[in-house]
Amino acid sequence: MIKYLARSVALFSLLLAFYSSAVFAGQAELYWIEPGAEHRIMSSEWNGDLWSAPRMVYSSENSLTSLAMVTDLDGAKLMVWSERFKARVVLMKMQRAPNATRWANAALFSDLGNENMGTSMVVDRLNRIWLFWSADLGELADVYLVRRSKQGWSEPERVHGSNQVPDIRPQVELDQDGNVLVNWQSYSMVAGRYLTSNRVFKLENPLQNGYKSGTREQVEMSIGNIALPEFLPNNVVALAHYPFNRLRQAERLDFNRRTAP
Amino acid sequence: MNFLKSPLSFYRYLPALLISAMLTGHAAAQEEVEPTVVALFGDSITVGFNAGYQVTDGNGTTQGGFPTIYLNNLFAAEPKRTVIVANWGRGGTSSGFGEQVIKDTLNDNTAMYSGKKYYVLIMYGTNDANIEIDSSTTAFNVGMMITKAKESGYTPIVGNLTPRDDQLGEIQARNPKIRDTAAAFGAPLVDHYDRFWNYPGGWTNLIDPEVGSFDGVTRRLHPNNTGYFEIAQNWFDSVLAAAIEPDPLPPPIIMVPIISLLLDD
Repeated sequence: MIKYLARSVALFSLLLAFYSSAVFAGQAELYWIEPGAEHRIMSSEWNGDLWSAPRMVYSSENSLTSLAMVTDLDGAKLMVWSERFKARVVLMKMQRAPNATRWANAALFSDLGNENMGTSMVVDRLNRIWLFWSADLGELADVYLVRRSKQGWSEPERVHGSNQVPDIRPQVELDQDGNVLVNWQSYSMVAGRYLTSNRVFKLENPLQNGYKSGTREQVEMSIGNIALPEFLPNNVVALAHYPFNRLRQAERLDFNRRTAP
Repeated sequence: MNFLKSPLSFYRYLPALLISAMLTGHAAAQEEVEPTVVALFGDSITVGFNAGYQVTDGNGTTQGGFPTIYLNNLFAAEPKRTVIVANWGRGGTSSGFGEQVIKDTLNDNTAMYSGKKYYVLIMYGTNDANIEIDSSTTAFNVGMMITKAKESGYTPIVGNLTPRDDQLGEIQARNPKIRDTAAAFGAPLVDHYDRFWNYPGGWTNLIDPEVGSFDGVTRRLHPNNTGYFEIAQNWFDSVLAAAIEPDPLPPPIIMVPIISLLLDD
């Protein structure tokens, strides 16, 4: 009896350790912009043991930057990036339907400012996509927001008051209550440096709206849980995307780069 | 010894006497020259990084990297200028980083190198697009660097960005804004882009393709040694030669006391 109990406890402990630390296939994706004169967006997926061989998702003769990825609660994917067309930098997009293996053709997403950069996206518990980015409408960059709901995409709105300093590099995630948290870098003339600004967009009454939870219960994934592939170039614009995370759904990988802010 | 009684002996030793007097006067004049200090402040292009020089940070060196060496040579050539050139380049950094650290860097430079006047050569922005800093923010950051340099007691001089083949559009978007910012903040602008673009045979003669040691990708980004010479020469020709006066000439040779000594038995 004692041996039986001991074996059960040991097995339970092993299972608990496994499920709490194991990384399941599809929990993490890498997207990066291949550096060099040829401009390509590459991707790789974690299959539970290894990263898949890198695949080219998009290529252009124009320089690319600012990747953002989101997977909505139905499994559809949206990728947004910045692409320079001569004097202007616009936001481009590609979409992939749930369970599809191929991406639809790239299309223009926004040319709001002269230069549109620093995109960051999240899906909320009402399956709305929130896209933040910085755009300069002739002067200095400000942070803007558009939302996709069942009615389509909203008009861009600036997320902070009017100022005469740069507001750049927004980063968005959800908190445990499903509120949308965005922070960005804004220059303070008083402090003489960039400071972190933030804003919270509260989720509407979740009980009344009956929000969807994640597709399955998961421990929130982070790139720290797995080793990066060796084929990933250092010092590149790279993004780790976690399709099943409900809080932080993507992380910029700014490794090997000294940046401020 | 009476040279008047032996005129041939006098004339035999005269050249040696004149030379020794000149050297004595010249040496006396050199010991009195207080140096001008020129700090180089930017990214890996300021460091002088390329295939033959894989150092990523200048750390205030006065000897490492061809930007440092070539400027030293230019200042040492006649008419000589006593200048300390200190390289504070940091590879891979952005204008945001430069804006954040410029005051501390210049304070360190002042503590390390004593001089009568301080200049800083600012060249930042080539890495900005990689971390999503748009061109207007690059220009803003350069403006803040100019302001902070002046607050630190330095005369700032701004250099625009040299071409690169993987992000030429980013360079071309930033340079006009850097130029306008330098003018608005009262700093001279040195046009490195124009010097490279109009170089005989094209700018690719000044920037070789290199395999990035960080990412294994081939691109034209860091100038070769000739390119670094052109940058140094451009700083010198455009601003520094006029801004930094040559060392004072040695005082004239006073012959009468010397002759009196020679005539004294």
